[in-house]
Amino acid sequence: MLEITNLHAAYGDAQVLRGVSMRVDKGRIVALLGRNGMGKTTLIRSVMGMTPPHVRQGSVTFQGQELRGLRPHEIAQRHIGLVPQGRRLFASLTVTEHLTMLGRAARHRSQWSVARLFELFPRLGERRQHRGHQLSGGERQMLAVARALTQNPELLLMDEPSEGLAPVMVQHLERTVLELRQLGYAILLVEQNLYSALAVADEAYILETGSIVHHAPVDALRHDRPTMHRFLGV
Amino acid sequence: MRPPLSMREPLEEVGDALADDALTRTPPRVMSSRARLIVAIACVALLVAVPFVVPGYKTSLVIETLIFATLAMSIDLLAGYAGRVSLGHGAIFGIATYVVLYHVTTGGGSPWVAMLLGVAAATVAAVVFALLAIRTSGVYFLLLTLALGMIVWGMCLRWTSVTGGENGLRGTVAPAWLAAQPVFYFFILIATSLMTWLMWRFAHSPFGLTLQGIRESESRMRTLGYNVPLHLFIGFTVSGFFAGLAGTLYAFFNSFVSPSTVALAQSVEGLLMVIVGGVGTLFGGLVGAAVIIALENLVSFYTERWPMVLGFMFIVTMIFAPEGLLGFARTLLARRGAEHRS
Repeated sequence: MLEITNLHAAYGDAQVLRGVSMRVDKGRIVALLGRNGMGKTTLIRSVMGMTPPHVRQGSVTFQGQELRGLRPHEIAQRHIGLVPQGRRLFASLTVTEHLTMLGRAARHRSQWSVARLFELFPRLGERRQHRGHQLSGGERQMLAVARALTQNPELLLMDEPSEGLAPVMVQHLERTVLELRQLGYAILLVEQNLYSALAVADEAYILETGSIVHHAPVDALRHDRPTMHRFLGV
Repeated sequence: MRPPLSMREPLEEVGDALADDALTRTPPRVMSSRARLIVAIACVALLVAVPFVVPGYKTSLVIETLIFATLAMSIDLLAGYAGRVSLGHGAIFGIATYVVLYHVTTGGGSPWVAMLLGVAAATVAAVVFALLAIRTSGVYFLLLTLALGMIVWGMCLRWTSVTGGENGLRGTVAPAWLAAQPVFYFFILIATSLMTWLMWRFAHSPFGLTLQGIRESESRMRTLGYNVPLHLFIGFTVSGFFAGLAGTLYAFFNSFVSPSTVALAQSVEGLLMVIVGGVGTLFGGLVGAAVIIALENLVSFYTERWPMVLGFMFIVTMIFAPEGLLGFARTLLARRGAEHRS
């Protein structure tokens, strides 16, 4: 589904990604792990076509189509949903407005109606008239995921979704991620929270100073303490 | 390491974990639906009574207020919702006024056809402005729209064979059946009310929400799949369309147009109306237009130093009500509501 091949990206003269190659298949949750500053968010930005960084080499294909050179909204329109780091909601819009921004015609095409999203996140239904800045951290994360789903994605890129959440909310988020996988979504989960990532992911890549240094099924990684200690400091 | 999800406790406590202050918070309601209805009925009653209570000069001031309120609201569509402050809307407004007066006085055409042509010309001007300006933001957008407005002003000043140069164009363009002031007043009231309703619908449509999203973060909107330049282009064009409609009504009202109608001062005044009333409130444009036109015309009756009074009012507003008069009133009502609840 998503295939990244030999991706090099830089912020000006600072090379951040050095030949990253990885893939995310349909119905799989792939965790991208790594310590702070290793290039995880840069990878997400590169996939979404956001500048900076500037992609200098390599390719990003989604369902066989090259994404490099496309503008961010064109990439998003190819059914790639982004749940950005820090949620990035619209402070002045209500929960309902976040989910109805798409327009009636597009919402009809989407398999995610507002009612269905409120079924998935009942808490949001109760908060439908609250504005983005009036929500708790967990509610914001739910809304960020719901907003991404309104775009009818087939692939979800989730950038540190558990960041700043209470443990119980992280568990709730994990359950949601697993539900989405059951629905056939491919999910690239960028996480610093190793435990959360290992709880849901099928396989994991470890990013170290811009390069993939390890790739293994999660079950194997869970028992590979030397690797986790070496690259993740656990 | 934590146990996998399947081995953990059930998640019923999720709800409890959320039971922080967020649970008890309710979105602040500035006014109840009933209070809103009462205010709306009072406003309508007040506006309907105007030509009977204060006929003559004061009614013409209210007519002028309604027309400029429409211009101000069209500016607010862009400034308050899309976050793009335009200094070119005075020119778009004035183009419509010029076209109406030219078509009727020089061309001898029908005023209704003139109105259609005026709105079409203003919309075309808005399209041109939008194509040039939408890729900029902040001070660059401001300067670019200012420059475009200056070009229009220069053309109106120098293209004397069409625009009449500094002398402008003069002539009665409103149809004869609108000659009586109360009839004309109600014509303007109905037209501006309809436009206000349309602008409100536009601002609160899913498309209007995308403009608000763009105002908050363009990059976020892009990653959500929205073509930001296209949305801004449409937003600018719609805003220009309403400014053009206001311009055609101004032609009916003023029966005169000169380069001062398309000058920078016109755009600045429209923007000041928005700022005084409250950016992003839409109806703030009406409040701002009422305050500024009242001050300009009524204070000047008592003192020659009325611009000083106007300047003082702007300073006081900026310091004590930076969110504008309507925004200030909303904050005040919300605070009182919160105090009442607590």
